[in-house]
Amino acid sequence: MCSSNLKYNSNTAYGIVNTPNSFLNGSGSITTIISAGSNGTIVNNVIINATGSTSLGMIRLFINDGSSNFLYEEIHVNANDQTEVVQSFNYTYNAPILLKNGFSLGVSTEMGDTFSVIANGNDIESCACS
Amino acid sequence: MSYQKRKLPLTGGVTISTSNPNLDGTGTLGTILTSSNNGTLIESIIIKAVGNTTEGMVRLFIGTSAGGTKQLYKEVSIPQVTQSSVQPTFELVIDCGLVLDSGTEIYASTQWSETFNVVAIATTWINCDCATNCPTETKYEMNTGVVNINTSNPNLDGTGAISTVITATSGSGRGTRVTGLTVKGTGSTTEGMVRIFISFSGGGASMLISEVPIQGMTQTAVESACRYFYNPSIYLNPGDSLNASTENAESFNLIAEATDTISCDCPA
Repeated sequence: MCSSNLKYNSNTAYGIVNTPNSFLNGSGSITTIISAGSNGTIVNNVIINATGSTSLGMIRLFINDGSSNFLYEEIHVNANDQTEVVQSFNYTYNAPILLKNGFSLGVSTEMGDTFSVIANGNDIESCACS
Repeated sequence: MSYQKRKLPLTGGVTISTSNPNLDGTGTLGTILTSSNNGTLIESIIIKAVGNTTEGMVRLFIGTSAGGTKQLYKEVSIPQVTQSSVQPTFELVIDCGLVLDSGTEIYASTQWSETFNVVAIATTWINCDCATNCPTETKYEMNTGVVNINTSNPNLDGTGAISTVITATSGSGRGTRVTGLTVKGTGSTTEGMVRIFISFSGGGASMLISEVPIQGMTQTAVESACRYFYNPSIYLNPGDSLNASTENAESFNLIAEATDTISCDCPA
Protein backbone atom coordinates (compact mmCIF):
# COMPACT_ATOMS: atom_id res chain seq x y z
CA MET A 1 0.00 0.00 0.00
CA CYS A 2 1.38 3.38 -0.93
CA SER A 3 2.11 5.80 1.84
CA SER A 4 1.43 9.51 2.01
CA ASN A 5 3.02 12.18 -0.15
CA LEU A 6 1.73 14.99 1.97
CA LYS A 7 2.04 15.40 5.72
CA TYR A 8 0.19 17.72 8.05
CA ASN A 9 1.77 19.03 11.24
CA SER A 10 -0.34 21.03 13.63
CA ASN A 11 0.56 24.70 14.04
CA THR A 12 -1.51 26.34 16.73
CA ALA A 13 -0.40 29.78 17.81
CA TYR A 14 -1.78 32.53 19.97
CA GLY A 15 -1.25 36.06 21.19
CA ILE A 16 -2.73 38.94 23.16
CA VAL A 17 -3.92 42.09 21.38
CA ASN A 18 -4.69 45.20 23.42
CA THR A 19 -3.00 48.27 21.89
CA PRO A 20 -5.46 50.54 20.06
CA ASN A 21 -4.77 50.93 16.36
CA SER A 22 -7.26 52.60 14.02
CA PHE A 23 -5.19 52.17 10.84
CA LEU A 24 -6.31 50.01 7.93
CA ASN A 25 -3.12 50.56 5.94
CA GLY A 26 -0.93 48.14 7.89
CA SER A 27 0.78 50.70 10.09
CA GLY A 28 0.61 50.91 13.89
CA SER A 29 0.57 48.11 16.42
CA ILE A 30 -0.16 44.70 14.87
CA THR A 31 0.48 41.48 16.81
CA THR A 32 1.80 38.50 14.83
CA ILE A 33 -0.28 35.46 15.70
CA ILE A 34 0.93 32.70 13.37
CA SER A 35 3.79 32.32 10.88
CA ALA A 36 3.75 29.89 7.95
CA GLY A 37 5.95 26.80 7.86
CA SER A 38 8.54 26.09 5.16
CA ASN A 39 5.99 24.61 2.70
CA GLY A 40 3.16 26.82 3.81
CA THR A 41 0.36 26.70 6.36
CA ILE A 42 -3.41 26.33 6.23
CA VAL A 43 -4.97 28.45 9.00
CA ASN A 44 -8.26 26.65 9.59
CA ASN A 45 -9.79 29.22 11.90
CA VAL A 46 -9.00 32.20 14.11
CA ILE A 47 -10.64 32.31 17.54
CA ILE A 48 -11.02 35.73 19.18
CA ASN A 49 -12.04 36.12 22.82
CA ALA A 50 -12.16 39.34 24.82
CA THR A 51 -10.72 38.88 28.28
CA GLY A 52 -13.05 41.48 29.77
CA SER A 53 -15.68 44.03 28.80
CA THR A 54 -15.55 45.55 25.32
CA SER A 55 -16.61 48.79 23.70
CA LEU A 56 -17.91 49.11 20.15
CA GLY A 57 -14.97 48.64 17.81
CA MET A 58 -13.20 46.42 15.35
CA ILE A 59 -10.67 43.60 15.19
CA ARG A 60 -8.59 43.55 12.03
CA LEU A 61 -6.71 40.65 10.44
CA PHE A 62 -3.64 41.41 8.34
CA ILE A 63 -1.46 39.26 6.13
CA ASN A 64 2.22 40.09 6.28
CA ASP A 65 4.35 39.18 3.28
CA GLY A 66 7.63 39.57 5.14
CA SER A 67 7.78 43.32 4.82
CA SER A 68 4.29 44.88 4.76
CA ASN A 69 0.90 44.27 6.35
CA PHE A 70 -2.16 43.91 4.10
CA LEU A 71 -5.65 44.25 5.58
CA TYR A 72 -7.48 40.96 5.01
CA GLU A 73 -10.62 41.07 7.14
CA GLU A 74 -12.45 43.26 9.68
CA ILE A 75 -14.53 41.81 12.52
CA HIS A 76 -17.09 43.94 14.35
CA VAL A 77 -16.77 44.00 18.13
CA ASN A 78 -19.91 44.58 20.19
CA ALA A 79 -20.17 46.73 23.29
CA ASN A 80 -20.42 44.15 26.04
CA ASP A 81 -20.19 44.24 29.83
CA GLN A 82 -18.65 40.98 30.94
CA THR A 83 -19.78 39.62 34.29
CA GLU A 84 -19.71 36.26 36.05
CA VAL A 85 -22.82 35.29 34.07
CA VAL A 86 -22.35 37.29 30.86
CA GLN A 87 -19.84 35.92 28.37
CA SER A 88 -17.19 38.20 27.02
CA PHE A 89 -17.16 39.00 23.30
CA ASN A 90 -16.10 36.01 21.22
CA TYR A 91 -15.91 35.27 17.52
CA THR A 92 -14.49 32.50 15.37
CA TYR A 93 -13.35 33.35 11.86
CA ASN A 94 -13.74 30.06 9.99
CA ALA A 95 -12.60 30.63 6.43
CA PRO A 96 -9.30 28.85 5.86
CA ILE A 97 -6.39 31.18 5.09
CA LEU A 98 -3.49 29.84 3.01
CA LEU A 99 -0.12 31.31 3.95
CA LYS A 100 3.07 30.70 1.99
CA ASN A 101 6.49 30.37 3.57
CA GLY A 102 7.62 33.76 4.87
CA PHE A 103 4.07 35.03 5.37
CA SER A 104 2.29 35.51 8.69
CA LEU A 105 -1.09 36.52 10.09
CA GLY A 106 -1.34 39.55 12.39
CA VAL A 107 -4.16 41.11 14.39
CA SER A 108 -4.96 44.64 15.64
CA THR A 109 -7.75 46.17 17.72
CA GLU A 110 -9.50 49.51 17.14
CA MET A 111 -10.02 50.07 20.88
CA GLY A 112 -7.72 49.42 23.83
CA ASP A 113 -9.65 46.34 24.94
CA THR A 114 -7.82 43.06 25.52
CA PHE A 115 -8.38 40.08 23.24
CA SER A 116 -6.93 36.59 23.26
CA VAL A 117 -6.43 35.39 19.68
CA ILE A 118 -5.84 31.73 18.81
CA ALA A 119 -4.97 30.60 15.28
CA ASN A 120 -5.59 26.96 14.46
CA GLY A 121 -3.41 25.81 11.62
CA ASN A 122 -1.66 22.95 9.87
CA ASP A 123 1.79 23.18 8.35
CA ILE A 124 2.03 21.05 5.24
CA GLU A 125 5.10 19.01 4.39
CA SER A 126 5.40 17.56 0.90
CA CYS A 127 7.41 14.37 0.40
CA ALA A 128 10.27 14.48 -2.07
CA CYS A 129 9.75 13.08 -5.56
CA SER A 130 10.82 9.46 -5.59
CA MET B 1 -4.19 16.15 -1.99
CA SER B 2 -3.86 12.66 -0.61
CA TYR B 3 -2.31 11.71 2.68
CA GLN B 4 -2.16 8.89 5.13
CA LYS B 5 -1.83 9.04 8.87
CA ARG B 6 -2.45 6.92 11.92
CA LYS B 7 -5.26 8.14 14.12
CA LEU B 8 -5.30 7.22 17.80
CA PRO B 9 -7.74 8.14 20.55
CA LEU B 10 -6.56 10.75 23.06
CA THR B 11 -9.61 11.54 25.14
CA GLY B 12 -8.93 13.29 28.43
CA GLY B 13 -10.89 14.69 31.34
CA VAL B 14 -10.71 16.61 34.59
CA THR B 15 -12.96 17.47 37.52
CA ILE B 16 -13.01 21.14 38.50
CA SER B 17 -14.55 22.70 41.59
CA THR B 18 -12.38 25.67 42.69
CA SER B 19 -13.83 29.12 42.05
CA ASN B 20 -11.88 31.21 39.52
CA PRO B 21 -13.41 34.37 38.00
CA ASN B 22 -10.36 35.25 35.87
CA LEU B 23 -10.42 35.44 32.06
CA ASP B 24 -6.69 36.06 31.66
CA GLY B 25 -5.53 32.49 32.33
CA THR B 26 -4.50 33.03 35.94
CA GLY B 27 -5.97 31.25 38.96
CA THR B 28 -6.94 27.61 39.35
CA LEU B 29 -7.24 25.67 36.09
CA GLY B 30 -7.76 21.95 35.58
CA THR B 31 -5.83 20.24 32.77
CA ILE B 32 -8.17 18.31 30.46
CA LEU B 33 -5.51 16.84 28.18
CA THR B 34 -2.08 17.36 26.65
CA SER B 35 -1.66 17.09 22.88
CA SER B 36 0.92 14.63 21.53
CA ASN B 37 2.48 13.13 18.35
CA ASN B 38 2.01 15.25 15.19
CA GLY B 39 -1.00 17.00 16.66
CA THR B 40 -4.36 16.43 18.32
CA LEU B 41 -7.88 17.09 17.08
CA ILE B 42 -10.36 17.92 19.85
CA GLU B 43 -13.63 16.84 18.29
CA SER B 44 -15.95 17.75 21.16
CA ILE B 45 -15.95 18.73 24.83
CA ILE B 46 -18.49 17.44 27.33
CA ILE B 47 -19.28 19.55 30.41
CA LYS B 48 -21.35 17.82 33.07
CA ALA B 49 -22.20 19.21 36.51
CA VAL B 50 -22.08 16.70 39.34
CA GLY B 51 -24.50 18.60 41.56
CA ASN B 52 -26.58 21.74 41.81
CA THR B 53 -25.47 24.79 39.86
CA THR B 54 -26.07 28.53 40.11
CA GLU B 55 -25.86 30.98 37.24
CA GLY B 56 -22.22 31.24 36.30
CA MET B 57 -19.59 30.28 33.77
CA VAL B 58 -17.20 27.47 32.85
CA ARG B 59 -14.19 28.66 30.92
CA LEU B 60 -11.84 26.77 28.61
CA PHE B 61 -8.24 27.86 28.01
CA ILE B 62 -5.33 26.82 25.79
CA GLY B 63 -1.66 26.94 26.75
CA THR B 64 1.45 24.83 27.17
CA SER B 65 2.86 22.91 30.07
CA ALA B 66 6.08 24.86 29.54
CA GLY B 67 4.41 27.96 30.98
CA GLY B 68 3.37 31.25 29.49
CA THR B 69 -0.07 32.81 29.40
CA LYS B 70 -3.08 30.56 29.10
CA GLN B 71 -5.38 31.93 26.38
CA LEU B 72 -9.13 32.07 26.83
CA TYR B 73 -10.71 29.75 24.25
CA LYS B 74 -14.38 29.65 25.14
CA GLU B 75 -16.86 30.64 27.82
CA VAL B 76 -19.87 28.43 28.55
CA SER B 77 -22.85 29.91 30.40
CA ILE B 78 -24.08 27.75 33.27
CA PRO B 79 -27.76 27.97 34.26
CA GLN B 80 -29.21 27.50 37.71
CA VAL B 81 -30.23 23.85 38.09
CA THR B 82 -31.39 22.08 41.23
CA GLN B 83 -30.68 18.41 40.85
CA SER B 84 -33.18 15.82 42.01
CA SER B 85 -34.17 12.26 41.29
CA VAL B 86 -36.06 13.48 38.24
CA GLN B 87 -34.02 16.58 37.32
CA PRO B 88 -30.67 15.96 35.61
CA THR B 89 -27.75 18.23 36.30
CA PHE B 90 -26.47 20.66 33.72
CA GLU B 91 -24.74 19.06 30.74
CA LEU B 92 -23.51 20.33 27.41
CA VAL B 93 -21.58 18.92 24.44
CA ILE B 94 -19.53 21.44 22.45
CA ASP B 95 -18.44 20.62 18.90
CA CYS B 96 -14.89 21.93 18.61
CA GLY B 97 -12.77 20.88 15.63
CA LEU B 98 -9.83 22.34 17.53
CA VAL B 99 -6.32 21.35 16.44
CA LEU B 100 -3.52 21.48 19.04
CA ASP B 101 0.24 21.28 18.64
CA SER B 102 2.05 18.51 20.41
CA GLY B 103 2.65 19.71 23.98
CA THR B 104 -0.25 22.15 23.96
CA GLU B 105 -2.80 21.67 26.72
CA ILE B 106 -6.46 22.53 27.18
CA TYR B 107 -7.73 23.60 30.58
CA ALA B 108 -11.02 24.34 32.35
CA SER B 109 -12.10 26.60 35.21
CA THR B 110 -15.37 27.39 36.96
CA GLN B 111 -16.69 30.77 38.05
CA TRP B 112 -18.24 29.38 41.21
CA SER B 113 -17.19 26.61 43.60
CA GLU B 114 -19.36 24.01 41.95
CA THR B 115 -18.21 20.69 40.60
CA PHE B 116 -18.04 19.87 36.90
CA ASN B 117 -16.53 17.05 34.90
CA VAL B 118 -14.99 18.32 31.69
CA VAL B 119 -14.08 15.68 29.10
CA ALA B 120 -12.44 16.30 25.72
CA ILE B 121 -13.15 13.71 23.03
CA ALA B 122 -9.98 13.77 20.97
CA THR B 123 -7.73 11.91 18.58
CA THR B 124 -4.03 12.33 18.00
CA TRP B 125 -2.38 11.54 14.68
CA ILE B 126 0.97 10.24 13.49
CA ASN B 127 2.02 11.09 9.95
CA CYS B 128 3.09 8.08 7.92
CA ASP B 129 6.56 8.14 6.42
CA CYS B 130 6.92 9.35 2.89
CA ALA B 131 6.62 6.58 0.32
CA THR B 132 9.68 4.41 -0.23
CA ASN B 133 8.40 1.99 -2.87
CA CYS B 134 5.64 4.11 -4.32
CA PRO B 135 6.46 7.21 -6.34
CA THR B 136 5.30 10.58 -5.11
CA GLU B 137 3.42 12.08 -8.03
CA THR B 138 2.81 15.64 -6.96
CA LYS B 139 4.31 17.96 -4.38
CA TYR B 140 2.35 20.83 -2.91
CA GLU B 141 3.33 24.16 -1.39
CA MET B 142 1.16 27.05 -0.27
CA ASN B 143 1.38 30.24 -2.29
CA THR B 144 -0.05 33.60 -1.20
CA GLY B 145 0.00 36.77 -3.25
CA VAL B 146 -0.69 40.26 -1.91
CA VAL B 147 -0.73 43.72 -3.46
CA ASN B 148 -2.24 47.13 -2.81
CA ILE B 149 -3.79 49.02 -5.72
CA ASN B 150 -4.84 52.68 -5.63
CA THR B 151 -4.20 54.23 -9.07
CA SER B 152 -7.24 54.98 -11.21
CA ASN B 153 -7.49 52.96 -14.41
CA PRO B 154 -10.77 52.78 -16.38
CA ASN B 155 -9.33 50.57 -19.13
CA LEU B 156 -10.62 47.06 -19.84
CA ASP B 157 -8.02 46.23 -22.48
CA GLY B 158 -5.09 45.50 -20.18
CA THR B 159 -3.44 48.91 -20.54
CA GLY B 160 -2.85 51.44 -17.77
CA ALA B 161 -1.91 50.87 -14.15
CA ILE B 162 -2.24 47.15 -13.37
CA SER B 163 -0.54 45.41 -10.43
CA THR B 164 0.44 41.76 -10.04
CA VAL B 165 -1.43 39.90 -7.30
CA ILE B 166 0.18 36.48 -7.67
CA THR B 167 2.59 34.82 -10.06
CA ALA B 168 2.60 31.07 -10.62
CA THR B 169 5.72 29.22 -9.61
CA SER B 170 8.11 28.78 -12.53
CA GLY B 171 9.86 25.64 -13.69
CA SER B 172 9.20 22.35 -15.43
CA GLY B 173 6.18 20.47 -14.15
CA ARG B 174 5.00 23.36 -12.00
CA GLY B 175 1.80 25.34 -11.81
CA THR B 176 -0.42 27.20 -9.36
CA ARG B 177 -4.09 26.82 -8.52
CA VAL B 178 -5.71 29.97 -7.08
CA THR B 179 -8.59 29.00 -4.80
CA GLY B 180 -9.30 32.22 -2.95
CA LEU B 181 -9.29 35.87 -4.02
CA THR B 182 -10.05 38.65 -1.55
CA VAL B 183 -10.65 42.30 -2.44
CA LYS B 184 -10.46 44.37 0.73
CA GLY B 185 -10.90 48.14 0.85
CA THR B 186 -8.64 50.01 3.25
CA GLY B 187 -10.91 53.04 3.59
CA SER B 188 -14.15 54.56 2.35
CA THR B 189 -15.17 53.80 -1.22
CA THR B 190 -17.34 55.24 -3.95
CA GLU B 191 -19.16 53.16 -6.54
CA GLY B 192 -16.63 51.73 -8.92
CA MET B 193 -14.95 48.58 -10.10
CA VAL B 194 -11.96 46.38 -9.40
CA ARG B 195 -10.84 44.39 -12.42
CA ILE B 196 -9.02 41.08 -12.50
CA PHE B 197 -6.72 40.21 -15.39
CA ILE B 198 -4.67 37.19 -16.37
CA SER B 199 -1.25 37.72 -17.89
CA PHE B 200 0.60 35.02 -19.80
CA SER B 201 4.35 34.78 -19.47
CA GLY B 202 4.62 34.18 -23.21
CA GLY B 203 3.68 37.81 -23.81
CA GLY B 204 0.68 39.85 -24.93
CA ALA B 205 -1.58 42.22 -23.05
CA SER B 206 -3.23 41.29 -19.79
CA MET B 207 -6.67 39.78 -20.45
CA LEU B 208 -9.68 40.90 -18.40
CA ILE B 209 -11.33 37.85 -16.80
CA SER B 210 -13.56 39.35 -14.09
CA GLU B 211 -14.96 42.62 -12.74
CA VAL B 212 -15.84 43.20 -9.09
CA PRO B 213 -18.47 45.94 -8.57
CA ILE B 214 -17.52 48.12 -5.59
CA GLN B 215 -20.22 49.64 -3.42
CA GLY B 216 -20.06 53.17 -2.09
CA MET B 217 -19.62 53.08 1.67
CA THR B 218 -18.12 55.09 4.51
CA GLN B 219 -15.57 53.34 6.74
CA THR B 220 -15.41 54.33 10.42
CA ALA B 221 -14.07 52.90 13.66
CA VAL B 222 -17.15 50.70 13.90
CA GLU B 223 -18.11 50.30 10.21
CA SER B 224 -15.86 48.00 8.22
CA ALA B 225 -14.52 48.83 4.80
CA CYS B 226 -15.83 46.82 1.86
CA ARG B 227 -14.72 43.22 1.33
CA TYR B 228 -15.37 40.73 -1.44
CA PHE B 229 -14.25 37.11 -1.53
CA TYR B 230 -14.29 34.65 -4.41
CA ASN B 231 -13.41 30.99 -4.89
CA PRO B 232 -12.11 31.28 -8.42
CA SER B 233 -10.31 27.93 -8.91
CA ILE B 234 -7.97 29.34 -11.55
CA TYR B 235 -5.04 27.24 -12.75
CA LEU B 236 -2.05 29.36 -13.73
CA ASN B 237 0.72 28.10 -16.01
CA PRO B 238 4.29 28.53 -14.77
CA GLY B 239 5.18 32.22 -14.79
CA ASP B 240 1.65 33.42 -15.58
CA SER B 241 0.06 35.87 -13.19
CA LEU B 242 -3.19 37.36 -11.93
CA ASN B 243 -3.28 41.15 -11.98
CA ALA B 244 -5.70 43.82 -10.79
CA SER B 245 -6.71 47.43 -11.37
CA THR B 246 -9.20 49.88 -9.83
CA GLU B 247 -11.62 52.20 -11.63
CA ASN B 248 -11.33 54.88 -8.95
CA ALA B 249 -8.22 56.14 -7.16
CA GLU B 250 -9.15 54.33 -3.94
CA SER B 251 -7.09 51.85 -1.97
CA PHE B 252 -7.75 48.09 -2.12
CA ASN B 253 -5.74 45.08 -1.01
CA LEU B 254 -5.87 42.07 -3.33
CA ILE B 255 -5.00 38.79 -1.62
CA ALA B 256 -4.75 35.55 -3.59
CA GLU B 257 -4.60 32.22 -1.76
CA ALA B 258 -3.20 29.41 -3.84
CA THR B 259 -1.42 26.08 -3.96
CA ASP B 260 1.71 25.52 -6.04
CA THR B 261 1.86 22.07 -7.58
CA ILE B 262 5.10 20.40 -8.64
CA SER B 263 4.55 17.34 -10.78
CA CYS B 264 7.29 14.78 -10.31
CA ASP B 265 9.13 13.23 -13.24
CA CYS B 266 7.90 9.82 -14.35
CA PRO B 267 9.92 7.01 -12.69
CA ALA B 268 12.73 5.67 -14.88
